[in-house]
Amino acid sequence: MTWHPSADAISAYAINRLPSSQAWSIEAHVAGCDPCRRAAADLPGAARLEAIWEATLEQVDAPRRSVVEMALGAVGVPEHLRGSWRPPRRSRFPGWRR
Amino acid sequence: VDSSDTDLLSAIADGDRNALRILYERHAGWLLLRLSRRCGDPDVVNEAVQDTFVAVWRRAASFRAEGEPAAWLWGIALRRLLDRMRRRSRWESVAEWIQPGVVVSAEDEVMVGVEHGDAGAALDRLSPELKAVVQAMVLDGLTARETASLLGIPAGTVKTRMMRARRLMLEDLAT
Repeated sequence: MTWHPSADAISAYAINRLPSSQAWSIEAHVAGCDPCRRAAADLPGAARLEAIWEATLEQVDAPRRSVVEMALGAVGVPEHLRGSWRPPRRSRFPGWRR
Repeated sequence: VDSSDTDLLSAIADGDRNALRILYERHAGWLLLRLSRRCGDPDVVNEAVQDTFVAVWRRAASFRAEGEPAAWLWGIALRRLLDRMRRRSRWESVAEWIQPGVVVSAEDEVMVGVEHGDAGAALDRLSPELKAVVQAMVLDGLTARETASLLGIPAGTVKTRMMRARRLMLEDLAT
């Protein structure tokens, strides 16, 4: 790869200060360029990235959910409703109720 | 530490947490930045990044070795963001399925040319509302419905804005 965005351009991108056309070029490049991905890696801030990592680990360590729960998750049923899943009762109302 | 992303993914599929950590360090940053340009709420972006790597942990085995890991990760991240946005807005129907399998890299390739020349300038002159729609539908390949839940506007409005953006850009380029 011959062209790389400058560090300044990547920083400007990170704080949303680039016009869309340039931002899109940077996104397209960074997605396929390992050195530029690494240059962008720390820009969101270590504290924020660590917090997300901790939350990720918590879920990774959580017991696997049942097939039904995962299916409900895949179709967008909020997590707090999935645990109490039971077969829907016949209802006059379309959609789901708690 | 020098393992390729593909090697990391196969280690993750075998339950290697350390490999997940390395993959996270390599990719979480740029994924977060890119999601941030599609969603103004940092909490939702954080959740989407978290969901992405949880999904990677659970689905690493489904990654095909000939694919590009970064493009695969972005595809997951964008879907997770949509999912979070959808949950945040009123969720109407359990039957609202997510459209699977977005191909991002090919569109990205095409868009690299946009920066240079008149098309880039015409794009930059669009209002933020119109740009957001073009970004979601053209660059990210989302459907009108998905774009609607991402941006929190009705699907009809998405279509109207897309038509308006197209017309404005064409007019801009014709003058």
